[in-house]
Amino acid sequence: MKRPTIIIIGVIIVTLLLGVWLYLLFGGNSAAPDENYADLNLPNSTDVIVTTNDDSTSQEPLIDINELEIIQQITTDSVIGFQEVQDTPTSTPFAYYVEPGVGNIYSINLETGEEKRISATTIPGASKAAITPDGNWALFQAGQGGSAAFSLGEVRASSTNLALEPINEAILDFASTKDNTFLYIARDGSGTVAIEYDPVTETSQALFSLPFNEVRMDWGSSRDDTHYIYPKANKHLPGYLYAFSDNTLKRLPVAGFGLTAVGSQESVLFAHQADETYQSGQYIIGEDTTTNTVAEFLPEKCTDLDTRDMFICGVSNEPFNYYTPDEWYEGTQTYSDNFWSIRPTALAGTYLRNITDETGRNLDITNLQAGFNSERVYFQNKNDGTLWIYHLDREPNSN
Amino acid sequence: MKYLGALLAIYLLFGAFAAQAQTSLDAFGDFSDLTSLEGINFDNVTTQAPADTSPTITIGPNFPQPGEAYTATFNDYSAGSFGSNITWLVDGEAVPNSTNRREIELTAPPAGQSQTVSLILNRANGSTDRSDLVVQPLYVDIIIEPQTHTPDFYLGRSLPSPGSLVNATAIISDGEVAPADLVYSWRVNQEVIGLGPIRGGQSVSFETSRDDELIVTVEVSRPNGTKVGGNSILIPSVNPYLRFYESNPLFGIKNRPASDPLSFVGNSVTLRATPYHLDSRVFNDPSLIEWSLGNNTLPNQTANPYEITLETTGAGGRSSLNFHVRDIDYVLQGARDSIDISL
Repeated sequence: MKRPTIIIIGVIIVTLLLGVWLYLLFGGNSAAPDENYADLNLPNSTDVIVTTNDDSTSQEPLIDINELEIIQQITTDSVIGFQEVQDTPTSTPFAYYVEPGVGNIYSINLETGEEKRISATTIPGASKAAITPDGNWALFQAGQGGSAAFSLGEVRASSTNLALEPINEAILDFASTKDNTFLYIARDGSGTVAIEYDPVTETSQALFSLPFNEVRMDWGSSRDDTHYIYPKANKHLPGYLYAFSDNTLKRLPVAGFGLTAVGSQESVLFAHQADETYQSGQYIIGEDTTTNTVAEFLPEKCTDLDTRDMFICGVSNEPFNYYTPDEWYEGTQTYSDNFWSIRPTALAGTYLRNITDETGRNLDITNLQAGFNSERVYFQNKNDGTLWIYHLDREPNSN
Repeated sequence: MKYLGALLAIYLLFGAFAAQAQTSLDAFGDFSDLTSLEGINFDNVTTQAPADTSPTITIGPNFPQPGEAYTATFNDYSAGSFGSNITWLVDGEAVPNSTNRREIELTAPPAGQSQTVSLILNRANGSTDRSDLVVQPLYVDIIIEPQTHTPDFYLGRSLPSPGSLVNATAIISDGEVAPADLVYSWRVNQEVIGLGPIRGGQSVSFETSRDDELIVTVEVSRPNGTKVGGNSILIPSVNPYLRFYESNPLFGIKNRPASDPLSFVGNSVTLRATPYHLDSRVFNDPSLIEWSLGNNTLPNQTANPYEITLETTGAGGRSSLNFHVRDIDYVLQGARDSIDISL
């Protein structure tokens, strides 16, 4: 072939490619207007698919562990479950968390800030998880509502693949215990049954049953602790508080419209609608007495500290109203919380920290959970689902 | 007027209840058949010795819950108490400031405990009559479970809406939750549910009417007919409504409603229209479900018809995105709302 012919063919090819590129750049979107608003048609798959990614051993320090910060953000994205993992009281503590949508598990070394993916097994639609305090087991929920699927995963030190087992029960709520077991409630006919499951021995033990489904649980830290039960709250509907302890389900003298509660072995913090606002109170179990509290709070923004006979609560300056807590559940009401400690048995409450001053952000606290020896309290910001730590051990007079 | 009606209904209900209860109390029934029920000792459930001309004590409410305030009233149908001295005792101790009063205020004891209310009548002719009433309060909790929709992240309970199903469950206990081997009589407003008393009928289902409020009443009896407790609650029936939330295939639905107007940050956004308190049957199989942008109906060919994905075309502007879900056979079961989209 002659040289001019080759050059002409080359120019033609280049011109064609240039034309295609220009077309795609300026005129390629030929969809009809309605098609621009089509749904992505993504099915809500809840099948468990085991996929792995070998790029899982990155050990770069990713988290800025500032030893001076009292309140610290440790994830930039939302999480669906978390747990402090510590082998012994003197060993290095880790914060484990689970990524939404995929169910990958990460650990953060709280001394070095090193973040590591310890499970790369993908669980599509992962929406909730609980991890045992030894870090060896995780219970996952994938999907939501009636189509939710549940599976148990064993974390293996030698691999980032979880050993997954499906759980064929209609679980409504679950949590891990300090004994490295799981507590959950599941549908049982028209009612529910509460069960402890030991993943090591693969044994289950029924704790109690209830004749209704709309259950809200405040789990104790072990099977033998007191567990509190009440119907899910609505400001228009009466709620009643029950406690399961010593193998007995008891009705406590706490009731009211929109009732919510959180309890310890010694006492209960509760709130309900009264006089067109949401009022807080406390019930002392040993004395069988109820009294008002020094601060108004949502019990779902509190957690008890096993070791200190104390609750840590996120308390907002914004007053509650006739629509509490429904609007908070809906997301139409948010709060900017500060930390308080409440000691019901001492009838005392103490203002601890201004969160906005400490962090520069307004945090709407939810899902509080105390770590080992109550040195740290983990919580999520309801606004974005991110995970935070409140370092109680760094507070002056923390004991 | 609506509230007067409700009050009248409650008054009639409890009036009838009181009459029945008093009759059964006077019959002084045999409670021994139920003393084996775990957790509850029925030996001392509210009882009163019968006497033709003796004064009687009635209390209101008829079955106070533990710790609840109640009123004890002296009734002397023989009218022979004129000029008599009246003395009230509770567990053998005189009630302060109660001398010669025909009605006193008392507080029921805690769960699992009983209280004996005594009335001593020293008549003008020198004779003395005494009447005792043992109050052993029980908790009779009514738990309402509307079968209506709320999103999964919503931690609360949904509410009934017109025509929706509602499950009601009674839990009776004197501190410890007892088995369900009792006879339950349920009423919604004046309508008896289940065609009458049901042994073991701890839970019932009913369909709500178009009323804004419903009175749910349960009376609990032993199999021999003697009543042991009851409760009545007022529950609302609300119209369903919508909230729009952004949704992400990976992270799921955001738990705060989308801002209105919603401004695009990226090239696309997925919105989910979430009905609150819509009958679950309608939510799962709506006869009308429709998205529209301005006046143009949008195709609805998705696995989740409550979601829609919007993509930018490069042109700017503002339009109204509308969503409508309804049961066309029962038009109150539905919701319609819109959100402005800003490009």
